[in-house]
Amino acid sequence: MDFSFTPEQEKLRQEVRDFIKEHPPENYPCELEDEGYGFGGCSREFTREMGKKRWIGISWPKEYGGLGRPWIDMFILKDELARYAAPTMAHFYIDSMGVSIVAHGTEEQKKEFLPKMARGELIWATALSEPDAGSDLFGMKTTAVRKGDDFIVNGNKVWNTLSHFSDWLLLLAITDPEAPRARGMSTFVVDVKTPGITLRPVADMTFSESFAEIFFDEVKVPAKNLLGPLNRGFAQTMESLEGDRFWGRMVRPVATRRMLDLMVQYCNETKHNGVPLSKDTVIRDTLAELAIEIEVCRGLAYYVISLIDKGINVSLEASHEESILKTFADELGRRAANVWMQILGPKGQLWKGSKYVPFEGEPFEGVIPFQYLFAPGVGLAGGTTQMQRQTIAWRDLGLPRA
Amino acid sequence: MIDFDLSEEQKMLQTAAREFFDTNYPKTLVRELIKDPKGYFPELWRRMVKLGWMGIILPEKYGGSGGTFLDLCILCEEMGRACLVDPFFSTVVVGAPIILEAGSDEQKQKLLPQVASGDLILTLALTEPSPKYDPYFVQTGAKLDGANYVINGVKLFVENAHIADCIILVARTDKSKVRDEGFTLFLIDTKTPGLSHTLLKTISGDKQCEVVFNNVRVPKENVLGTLNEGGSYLKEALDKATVAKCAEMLGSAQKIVEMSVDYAKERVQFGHPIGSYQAIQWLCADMSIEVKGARYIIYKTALELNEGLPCSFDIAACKAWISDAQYRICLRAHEVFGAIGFTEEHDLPLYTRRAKTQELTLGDSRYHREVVACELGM
Repeated sequence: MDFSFTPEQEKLRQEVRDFIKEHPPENYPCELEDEGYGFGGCSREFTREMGKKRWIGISWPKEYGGLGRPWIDMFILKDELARYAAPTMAHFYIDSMGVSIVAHGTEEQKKEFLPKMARGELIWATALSEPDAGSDLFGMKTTAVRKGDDFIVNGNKVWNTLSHFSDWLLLLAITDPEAPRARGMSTFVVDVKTPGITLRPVADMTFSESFAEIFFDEVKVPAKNLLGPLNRGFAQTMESLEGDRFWGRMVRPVATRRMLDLMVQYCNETKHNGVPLSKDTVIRDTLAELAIEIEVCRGLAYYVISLIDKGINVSLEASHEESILKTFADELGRRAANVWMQILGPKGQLWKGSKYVPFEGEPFEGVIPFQYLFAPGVGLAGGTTQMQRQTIAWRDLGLPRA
Repeated sequence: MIDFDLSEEQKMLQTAAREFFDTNYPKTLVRELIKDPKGYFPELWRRMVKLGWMGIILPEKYGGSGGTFLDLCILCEEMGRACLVDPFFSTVVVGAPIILEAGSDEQKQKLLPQVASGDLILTLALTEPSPKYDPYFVQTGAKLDGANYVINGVKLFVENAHIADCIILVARTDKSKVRDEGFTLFLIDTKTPGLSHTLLKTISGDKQCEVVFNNVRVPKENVLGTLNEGGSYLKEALDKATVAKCAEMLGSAQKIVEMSVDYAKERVQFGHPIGSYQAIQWLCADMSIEVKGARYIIYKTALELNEGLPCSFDIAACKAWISDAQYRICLRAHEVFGAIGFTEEHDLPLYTRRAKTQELTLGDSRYHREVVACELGM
């Protein structure tokens, strides 16, 4: 049993700190703000800087522009970047698409996409959910019908995070309407600029347009853009959601701890009737509880990376461990966001730019209400908390299906 | 590197302990021990001695096997899983390490081999009657009178005092000092005149006592460690005991989860196993999440203690987390089991009642969250 990091791994952390000194997050305005997950806001420029260091593909094979380092190095990289709320959202889907393309792509696809992705020059989004197919992906209706050298795609997708900022999409469509859904869907890589594709951004509860609806009207997708075998898209998609379930959530402990440290400082410095807020026993107990839960969350993330590090294909053999992390991390995030609001009191409801807004002029201005409003969405994205609990019940505990 | 696996030797210890308790410690025995005034069966105790468990963390020169604190935690986890009620914790986990830490060569040479051979039952008398758990609230005094100290005071919630051979007493010898400064530790033979004990009636049936010291005369040689320095020896021993208790709680929590999942697979209502219904599935999923989260922080802290690394935050975090998590797990288990789990005959109540005792021992979650708040710098 061991929970320590090697000198080389500590060296990587130091390299990240040096990188942040050279590229402070404040210098990279974001098209989409930091929603609180831990991977920061969306800045294509910051993503390109990461690409220059070859850090996007830190664990990809070297021949595709990666550094070929073990997955635990990617874990350490993301963990350390989260400490500074580095804006890495733009390459969020590059991560999972990289894994998918490495695993299932043709040589041609690998050569065409991976080097550009590794440089941070190609932004991805996914096109999976539909108005009638959220948690129940089998309810989808988008079809891809083979016609000569192309597939013709018709349908409409929704909740596609980042899609209106992206260059390419991962599309899941029905390719065999007669087969059971699990064996009748395929994944395609689709250029967003293909004629027939319309994107309509949708505002979320924070008022920002973090996702979009995508309409496919007789869209010609070349057959060579099929990713993986025909009709095997569902299983691949579930696998690729590891990018969301695990890599999108392992950053939670560090990110929430960063906010906790801010609030501890705020409570120590802010007095009411001459007494610092930090002397309030309810605040002490509540912040202590969050600090403890952050450590628990850290352990759940460490467990998954320890399995990946051993060479276990977690998304295939032990995806419930990722579900355990995601469930805990998302609910912790929601709780924490509300605690920060409670501590700020009435001023918590003030938006960035308002008179009396807390942390005025600092990077934290307006962050707390924004992340508070985004928090209910965190547990919905990448497979809802209810679906994660389902996975835990079936795969971790072996409980029977209805 | 991050590695959650036990070593081969640790796995062997875990397997041996689990088999031992599965074979030798059925729940019928647990119930008998709760009724039994002594609260332990010498025969079972002897078998544990033979396995070397009493001396598991004692150095070989005292008859121990020189194991690590991690080994002790693995053993405690199995004991928790078995719902063990036994003088092991007060003797091996709390008492012996204090003597090892504070004792003179003579004291160690005299007492520790007896612990290893199972011939000495120890307990620590620290807490006193007070509204809250407070290990610093010690008013029991010891005054020097010639060649003896004269001790007066009342200790409460002293585990196994009624069967202990020797009590390690925490007295305040310097009334000008606060908290754990001015503490002195004394080794007191339980048969010393003036020392009386009363067994308390606890909900879990474990053996906790009031111990009254009425002009108890203790020779100067029975001071353990340096006068007025008792607090420093206690800290390390109690830190480790707290984490070992967490390991015990992890074992019982894990067992409760397994029992609940097994029942959910068998019990049929409305034509289907209740484990196929989402309400039950989600209860069980939440239990699994909490117990898995506990495993990391407890063993991480055990490793840190083993290596002598500072970990005050982690110790408090473990105890706070598992205390509340096990409580929630018990409540959910009762929901899974329904009425049958609410009967005295059923195994679950043994665990639920014991869980509360464990929660209250060495500081509950509120106590430890206050420690965490201080560690955060508030």
